[in-house]
Amino acid sequence: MTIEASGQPSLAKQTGEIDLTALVARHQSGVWRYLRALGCDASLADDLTQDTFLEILRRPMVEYSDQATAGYLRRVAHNLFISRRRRDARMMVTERAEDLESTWMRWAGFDNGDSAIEALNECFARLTPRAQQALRLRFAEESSRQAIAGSLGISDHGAKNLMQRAKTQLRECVESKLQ
Amino acid sequence: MNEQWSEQIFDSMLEEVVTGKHPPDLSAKIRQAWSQESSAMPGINGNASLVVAKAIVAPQVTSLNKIVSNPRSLRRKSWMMPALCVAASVAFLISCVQYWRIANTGNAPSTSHDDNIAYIPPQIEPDSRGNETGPKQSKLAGQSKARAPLAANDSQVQPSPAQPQASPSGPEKELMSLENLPFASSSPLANNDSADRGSPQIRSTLPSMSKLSEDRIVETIDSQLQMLWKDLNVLPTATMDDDSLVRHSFVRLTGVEPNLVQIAGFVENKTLNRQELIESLVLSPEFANYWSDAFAKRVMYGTEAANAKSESGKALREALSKTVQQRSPWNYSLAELIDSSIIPPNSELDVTNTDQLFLASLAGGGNHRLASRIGVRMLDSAIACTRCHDGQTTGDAQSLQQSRYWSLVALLMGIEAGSPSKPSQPTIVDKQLDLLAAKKANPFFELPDGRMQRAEIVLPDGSEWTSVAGAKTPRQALARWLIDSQQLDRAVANQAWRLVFGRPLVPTSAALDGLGLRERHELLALLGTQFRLHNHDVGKLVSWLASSDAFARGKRVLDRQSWLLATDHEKAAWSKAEFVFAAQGLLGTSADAKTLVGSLAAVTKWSSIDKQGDQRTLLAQPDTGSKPQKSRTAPKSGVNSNTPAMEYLVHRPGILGEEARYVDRLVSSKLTWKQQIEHVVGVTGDYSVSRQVEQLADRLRSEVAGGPREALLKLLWAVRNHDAS
Repeated sequence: MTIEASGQPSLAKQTGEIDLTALVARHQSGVWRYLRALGCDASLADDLTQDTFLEILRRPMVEYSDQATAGYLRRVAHNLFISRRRRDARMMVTERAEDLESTWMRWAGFDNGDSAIEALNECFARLTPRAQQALRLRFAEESSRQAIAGSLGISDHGAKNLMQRAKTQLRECVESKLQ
Repeated sequence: MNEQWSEQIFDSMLEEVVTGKHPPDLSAKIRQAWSQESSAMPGINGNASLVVAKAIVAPQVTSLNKIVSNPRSLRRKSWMMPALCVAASVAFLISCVQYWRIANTGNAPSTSHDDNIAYIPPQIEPDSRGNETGPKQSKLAGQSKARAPLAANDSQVQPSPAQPQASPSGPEKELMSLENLPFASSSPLANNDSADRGSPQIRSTLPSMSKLSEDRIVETIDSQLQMLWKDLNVLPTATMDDDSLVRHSFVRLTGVEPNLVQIAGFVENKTLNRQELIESLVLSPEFANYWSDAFAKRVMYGTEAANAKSESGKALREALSKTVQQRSPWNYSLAELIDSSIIPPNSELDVTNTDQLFLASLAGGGNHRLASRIGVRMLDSAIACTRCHDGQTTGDAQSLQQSRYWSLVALLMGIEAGSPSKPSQPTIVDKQLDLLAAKKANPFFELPDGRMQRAEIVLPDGSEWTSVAGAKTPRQALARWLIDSQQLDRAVANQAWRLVFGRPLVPTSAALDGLGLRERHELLALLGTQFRLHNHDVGKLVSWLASSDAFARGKRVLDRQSWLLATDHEKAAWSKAEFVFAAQGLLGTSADAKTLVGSLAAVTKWSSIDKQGDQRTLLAQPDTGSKPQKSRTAPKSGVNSNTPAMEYLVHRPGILGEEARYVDRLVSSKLTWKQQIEHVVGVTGDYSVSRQVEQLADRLRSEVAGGPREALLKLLWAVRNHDAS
């Protein structure tokens, strides 16, 4: 899904108001992906994305640019995620927020991660069928390593190696495309 | 920790790709929730179209006295009053300082650079080594005084007669006239300097080109740079203390931080003096690996072999590292990248066919990438810039010609990437003999006027390839010719300088900077010659540079307050000192600079707050977005910060006249926007435009006030910042 920025100065800059439709359209996929990267499942990511935008609407904000707004939205989403985790008394994963932010920017850039996803799609198609199958089993069906090994007729260790190699290849491929 | 996050983010994206669960459209859901919430809140009409909460527009502060409006503080009303009190105190203090400055200078501090206003250097008494010792204080004087500090000579202030004068309404349009583009002027294939800087003359202080002792070479580097600093009125920073120098030497020469024992051994026990330390580092395997990795990364940029973890990358690095460790002639290593059948004298047969790795990785698509890489890395020339048109013609100097570029392409005709049995073992197919037999080895190229011309198969110096003894094909001739080429010597000396100082001694393109370019060319020629006379020993070359006075000069200590209080002229002087190696560089030091996309992403973010008033506002605010820094001298950087990094503030886009002229000519030409981006990104000869870079450049153009010109200046800054990393 590609959401293009309008390229025009934001409405907020012109009128001092925030256009909700435009704001959500521009940033929702980035916020959602960011929350997924933090460890939210799809349903929780939906909820927190919604909460993030509502939080923004409740308080005045400074609109320097799309990038600044996106960064602010991520910060709010991050805080909401921490609150949710605290409420659920679950382990925190929020140390070094700056590291997370810079790493996120390296992968997702300024287009909400659309380029990275597109590159990943292309790179995934270039993997061997066995590697693709292993990753599908791991991520889509959440199969255990033993189950993956069984499906492919290889040892546990072989399955682990296969997936590690495939992920390394994918990362290198995506990184070279995003250079 | 970064790696962990990286893994987690990558996994989540992979999961999205594999499962097909893409971000949903939550617009309706959010709108409904907001309508319900706002209907319960008096004063807000949640149903009214979709225009909702009020935004606070970033303030346009033009005076330091107005730095009280921290919009972030308005979000939390409980913090408003204390924040305002603190801000008011800061503003009061700054006002006092401002008043003091005005009272002392008799002039209001300038907020914009004005070439017509001269700058009298700070009243600082240098010590015996020429270091700054006194307080920094500048004076502004009227037009009758000396020139501005950025002006090394008239050429940097006044446009060359050959260049069109900018009309009041902006630069005049021209018809594809790309003359005077600065890339041509710095190439050793062309003249060593442009006409407006005077004809190049070797200074009498430079020794003759006979073999010099190593001490004499270091002395010559020092004297040449000190003369340059004096000419440009640059004050170098103080030399580093022992501790910092040990760390700096380790990091610059081996890429790793020293441990405490190593530092203590040098600093406390004095087990080694500086010279011995550098020699021991240069002889270490870590240096060989670091040099090889740095070279491989740049020469193989954009290919699998650029990655040190890939099999081809490992093989290439091992072969190169072996040469350095054995102190074998480095020129042979480079020639072997084009033809591995060349065996260096007194060496064992190397089983690594580095030509297969190099040529196969870069061949294809007409071999333009290959020609470009050979131009930059082995000929010290951004020759690829003349693919579509000639370069500049100045005076009696040779010009960089389109035909010369196509001759280089012709020398590589028929080299193709083969189909390897393993992806990690690339192979090449050499069809040059077949093409020569069929008389199809000369490619045609299109001249700017549309005519087609056949390229001659000649070497970069214009001689026939058949004149090279023992060469059966043009490729072999090029490889053999390179072994004895002075251009290759200069290219290696320039790369060594870059490794040691972070930036090349002479930029591949004069668009990057032209301060003291003539002196720098002279020094580079001397280093190239001595490199040749010392058996092309890379270790020796690097040790000369690391033993120089400039290597020990420290980084300028800058923090937000220094920047806020400095005049424009002081800022320009900081920038200038770094460009002539009188201070360690800030550019390329942040994590963002590691990739071109990262550097561009950072500059894109900062561009939205580029007005000086905005920057001042931000810099005067406490940084609420991050933890306190350990050291105030460390430049704040990162795309996660709204605050521009110090390297961006000091080396702001367009601060160099060369950059502005280069971009002006691009903008006023008939090149398309995409071609303009290509000219900026490719200015160093290393990088090409990826889709993401293009997207970011488009975004800059649409969002930055000033249109394409400002966007291109910022793009050029990002390229420079990345190039210095």
